[in-house]
Amino acid sequence: MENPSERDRFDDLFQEKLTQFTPDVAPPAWADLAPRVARSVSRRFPIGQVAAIALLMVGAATYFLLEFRPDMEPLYESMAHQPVALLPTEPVGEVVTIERAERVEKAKQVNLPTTKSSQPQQIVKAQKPKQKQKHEEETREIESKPKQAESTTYVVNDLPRTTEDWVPAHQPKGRRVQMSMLASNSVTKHTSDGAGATYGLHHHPYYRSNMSEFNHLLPLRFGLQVGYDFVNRWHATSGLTYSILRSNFEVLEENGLSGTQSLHYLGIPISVYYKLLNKKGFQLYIGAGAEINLNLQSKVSYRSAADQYKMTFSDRHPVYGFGAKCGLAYRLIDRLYLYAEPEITHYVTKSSLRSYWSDQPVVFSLNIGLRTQF
Amino acid sequence: MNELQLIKKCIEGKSKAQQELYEQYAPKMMGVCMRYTADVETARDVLQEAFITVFTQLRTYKGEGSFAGWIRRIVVNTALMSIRKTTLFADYESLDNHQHVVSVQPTTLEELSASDLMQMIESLPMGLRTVFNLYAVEGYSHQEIGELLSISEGGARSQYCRARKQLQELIIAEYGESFRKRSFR
Repeated sequence: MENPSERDRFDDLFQEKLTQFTPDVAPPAWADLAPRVARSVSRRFPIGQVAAIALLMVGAATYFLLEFRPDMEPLYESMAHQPVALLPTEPVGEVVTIERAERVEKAKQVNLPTTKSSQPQQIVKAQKPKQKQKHEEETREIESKPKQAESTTYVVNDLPRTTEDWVPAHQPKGRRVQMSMLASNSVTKHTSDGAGATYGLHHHPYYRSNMSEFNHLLPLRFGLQVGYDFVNRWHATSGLTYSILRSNFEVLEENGLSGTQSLHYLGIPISVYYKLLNKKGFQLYIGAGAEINLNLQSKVSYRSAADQYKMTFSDRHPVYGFGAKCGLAYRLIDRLYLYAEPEITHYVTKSSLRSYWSDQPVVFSLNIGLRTQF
Repeated sequence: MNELQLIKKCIEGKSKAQQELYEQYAPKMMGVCMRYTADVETARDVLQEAFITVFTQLRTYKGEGSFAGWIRRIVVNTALMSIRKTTLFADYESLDNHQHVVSVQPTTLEELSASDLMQMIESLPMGLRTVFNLYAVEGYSHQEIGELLSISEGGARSQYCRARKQLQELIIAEYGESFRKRSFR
């Protein structure tokens, strides 16, 4: 009995006749296939991966350059005015009492405005227990210097060379496929006052009072990004974003000082996405990423009862963001997609600048943009 | 231009070379696709997908074995990916396969054309057709077929037996008793 489960002449005949068989049906024309082949073959160069690695290296280099460069006399040196420090209502450190006459004299030496009060003022030398030791060392060092230096204790020394401060921060961002333009806005408005911001220990004059109140406007972000499908459903993007964080603040003190602040950041995001669904013009995906934000410029203007001040500087501390998001894209025409990405981000920085990012550690935001594939 | 030169130019992205390679191999590979798919349109789609894979993976061809065989494997794998979505491959073993064998004279089979054989294969259910194609025409072992279709080796063997039996019955029904060698029942 023959065993049909083993190969024999029957199978060989089928193989011989069908292996070289060419049907009458013509295959698709090359012209139909050529564009797809051209796209697929050109994709072989991992431009997205190369770009992501390059940006990662730039980000790392920037971080190290900024974090480990010699302690500079910041940008604040160029300030036209160095305002008088405001007083905390409940000082927590060592207090030095300065008579008005002496205060006026010192202010004249450094071209500072004065308050109207004739009462002695108390200046806080150490604002927080955990920083007390360091502050005492600084104070001792200053006290050992000539008298002129002493007069600047609460002015120059309070300017933000604040590597000892650690302030958490955060904000939103966006990213997308082959090339995308996006705009993003945080979802929740945030207002904070000094009592809730003790972690800041801010050294800016307008930060120093724990009676200050900040009203942060919703951060805005615009960006241009490129991406690459590197494996099946996986996709990586990177690019550049521009963020602006604006705040109004008021110091509830006798001076009645109030003002505005705008911080401008250049961001370099890197994200990875996983596509869950691609059907009938809709794409659903999830993603995660990180971002470094470099402060391009910070503008602060504020006024007291007697004077008005403006200062422009840049903060050397980057703001790092780590986020997760999901997204829905809809194909408008051909290769053009409109997308929306709710996102949650946690921001971290060593900057002493007080902003939406520093006052609210976790931010929900919505990225909306257009994306094209090519 | 010989085959290696053609491949090299395709890797460099020369469109003319890609077209030449496609037009050289596409007609035969269309036949492969038609053996595995239910209709001509699906076969065309599979062929296109397969050739995109061919061009993107061309760098991985090491020159071991024939180039036509390398392309054929890609085409078969692409076709399998396509039919896996719609076809459920039964995974069971039949103990009485050997008792239902209908044999035909191999010499008489030689009288049939490739088109005739194609028609008979196309009349098989998709699962049996796939297993028969893989074993008889492509030369895969039952074990390899089991791995490809995620079924057991015994299941692959069983389906092959059923496919072969149905083919032989078709041949006898179509071309008469002269094709019959012997039968057991």
